[in-house]
Amino acid sequence: MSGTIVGRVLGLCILVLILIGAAALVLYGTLPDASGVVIDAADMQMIGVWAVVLVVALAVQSSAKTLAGQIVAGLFIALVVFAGAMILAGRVIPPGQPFHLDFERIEAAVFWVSAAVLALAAIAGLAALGGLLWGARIGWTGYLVVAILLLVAVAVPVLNLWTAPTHPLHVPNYAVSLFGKYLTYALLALSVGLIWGYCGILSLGHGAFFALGGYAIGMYLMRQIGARGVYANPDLPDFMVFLNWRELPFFWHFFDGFPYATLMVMAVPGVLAFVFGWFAFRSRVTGVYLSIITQALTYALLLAFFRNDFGFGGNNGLTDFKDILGFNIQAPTTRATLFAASAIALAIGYLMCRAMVSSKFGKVLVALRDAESRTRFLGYRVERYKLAVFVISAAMAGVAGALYVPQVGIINPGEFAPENSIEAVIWVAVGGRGTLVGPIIGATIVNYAKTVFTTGALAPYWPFVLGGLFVVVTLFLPKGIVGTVQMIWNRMRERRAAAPPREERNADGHGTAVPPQANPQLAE
Amino acid sequence: MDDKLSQTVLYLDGVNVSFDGFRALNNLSLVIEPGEMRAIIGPNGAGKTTMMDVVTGKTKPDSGAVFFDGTVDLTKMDEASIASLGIGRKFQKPTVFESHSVRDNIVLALEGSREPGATLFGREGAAQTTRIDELLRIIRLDGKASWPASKLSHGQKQWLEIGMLLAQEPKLLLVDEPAAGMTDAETAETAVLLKEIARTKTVIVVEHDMAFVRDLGVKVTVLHEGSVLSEGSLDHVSADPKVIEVYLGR
Repeated sequence: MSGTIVGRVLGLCILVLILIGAAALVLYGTLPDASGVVIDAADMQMIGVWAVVLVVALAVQSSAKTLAGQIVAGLFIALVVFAGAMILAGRVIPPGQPFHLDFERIEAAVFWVSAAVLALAAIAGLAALGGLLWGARIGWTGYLVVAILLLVAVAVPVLNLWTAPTHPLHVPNYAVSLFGKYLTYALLALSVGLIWGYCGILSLGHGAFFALGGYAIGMYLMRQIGARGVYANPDLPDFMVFLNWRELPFFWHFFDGFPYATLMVMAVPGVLAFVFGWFAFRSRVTGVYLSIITQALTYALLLAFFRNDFGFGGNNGLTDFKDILGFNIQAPTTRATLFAASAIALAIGYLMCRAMVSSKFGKVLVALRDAESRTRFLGYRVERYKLAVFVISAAMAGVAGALYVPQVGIINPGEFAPENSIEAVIWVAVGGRGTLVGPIIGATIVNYAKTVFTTGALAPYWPFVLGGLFVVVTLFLPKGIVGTVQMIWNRMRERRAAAPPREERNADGHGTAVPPQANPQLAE
Repeated sequence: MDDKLSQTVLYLDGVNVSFDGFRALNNLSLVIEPGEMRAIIGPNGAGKTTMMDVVTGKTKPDSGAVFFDGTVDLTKMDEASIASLGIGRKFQKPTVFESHSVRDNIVLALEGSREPGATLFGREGAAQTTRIDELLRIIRLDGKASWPASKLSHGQKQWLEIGMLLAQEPKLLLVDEPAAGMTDAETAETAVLLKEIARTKTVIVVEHDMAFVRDLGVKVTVLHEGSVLSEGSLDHVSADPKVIEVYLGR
């Protein structure tokens, strides 16, 4: 029954697309002289992108079964309709006619609508996190990790800004940026660890979502430069002036608004992951085949972003940033704030993942990781679970990228390189697959080692060190650092518990005193 | 015919399945009535497991009709929707979730919404806790609730899987070789357990162990080369010359 609804909706979408195409052709072909309507190639691109987003929105709507899902999908469609109205009022209806809107007005409207959507999303996100945490078994280790991260978020900026450089506890400026970068890598590793460790999806293309989030915030930072660029062009970023472009491409519109850019940080990776996952998981592509196509995805994006006419600065990427939210991006206070924001984002991400994996949802993820078809026979729609967790993970990676770019001051297509995604997987493997602290620790340790090895005489040998590290971990620490510590801890507990009879300790059904290391991947 | 169809729990008619030219099911027809417990026996390669695959949606038949409750066409549905109709399956090789605790295995199988949103935000209610404890007692694993399933013995895994099956509150249970690899005492206990279950549910048991089938004391269907060879009480089919020929050879 639901199949016929989906079919009907898709049919309707195709019809709508044909009608839009026909209307555009009619307007483009016959009307320009009479009414002043001019639809150029850029408009056609814009309408095309809009139509694709509409199809995605309708697909989401048709597959949403619960009330909450329907509401979210309804909001999504309302946004698409709003975008369509803006295109119509701004580009199709000529100036002077009724319902025409100036571009400035549209920009203002988009700014406020994105601010409203962002606020709504923040409230919904907090409510969801509250709902997740309510009655969840986070455990003291989980709260300890959150507490440490929050302590870091406060202590490092304070020690950087309010202690004298000679003070023994002073944190120098370079260290704030460096460790801030590690924190964003840790968030990326966490997003990989969530899907790989708990759901068995080995994504070798997660760097793509990280880079897309980075590009989204990079576009905002580019627009903040304004007329202070080398060519002093108030309307166009330097690289577009250099390429002799006359006007801003439509996909660069509205990026001067921070709320819009922030939404795109999560929405672009999220939508890409949704579309990609929708096809991959429904067709039951699993294991190494899935890894290969995620790798292909990031490689394809790498090639696209390298091209100058793709509109994102080609080989050089986006750089030379000046301000973020009106603050100088180089200032120590801004750097410290970005560091704190990264630590807090990591803490929230960790708490969210921890609550997710300790819920029944997380148990289903582990079940489908270990025995996918068995989970299906229990009635779980495995592909929906994979899709949900993949989209969440991609949005997390996007946020990580968005925090990374202002701290390193540049984003270029190199971030899409498959090596980066593979490195993120190595961080998780080193730290401990199937744990959530593991990826954080792994990302920090490996990147610290990378910093040490790539500055100095050892620089050329870093790839060998990294490869060697991976081999050593695989051979001697197959559970990673955290997994090995856990194993030793559990063994010690077992030995200590060997004296009292086992049955007695299990009498309470599901107590915390667990004999032979129950749930190694759910414990932390 | 229609009237008769609507009174069946499971109705297979002229089902054919072939893998690379090998005919696993050959014009198989089978009718299971509500509340019935049926034992299905047959030599290796008779199509017993393939029949279960067809009913649970793992394998799509090349031709033929498969109806549940007289009206629901199972050939057009996937595994998850068939499972949510109330058809539960126990596999030949016990496939419990090894890294989950015994209790979590039951929790995952427990009847309830299977949507991601429901599992993400739902919390276990008192009624569910009671039901879980009750199931753990039925399958005699209440003392091992927090053990990882991987530490259970083979027989205990079989019971855990039966418990998971019961937790789904199915209308129809497909049980594939429940006694395989069990000790004699465990086998006898499993027969008692199944008979207990069959009082309220329709059960299909596939089994090799004749003593076990005799313990169950129900109607038997003999499969051979993908179709029904003989049907009736165990004594009746054991006396059937065709069955003797297949089992003992010419």
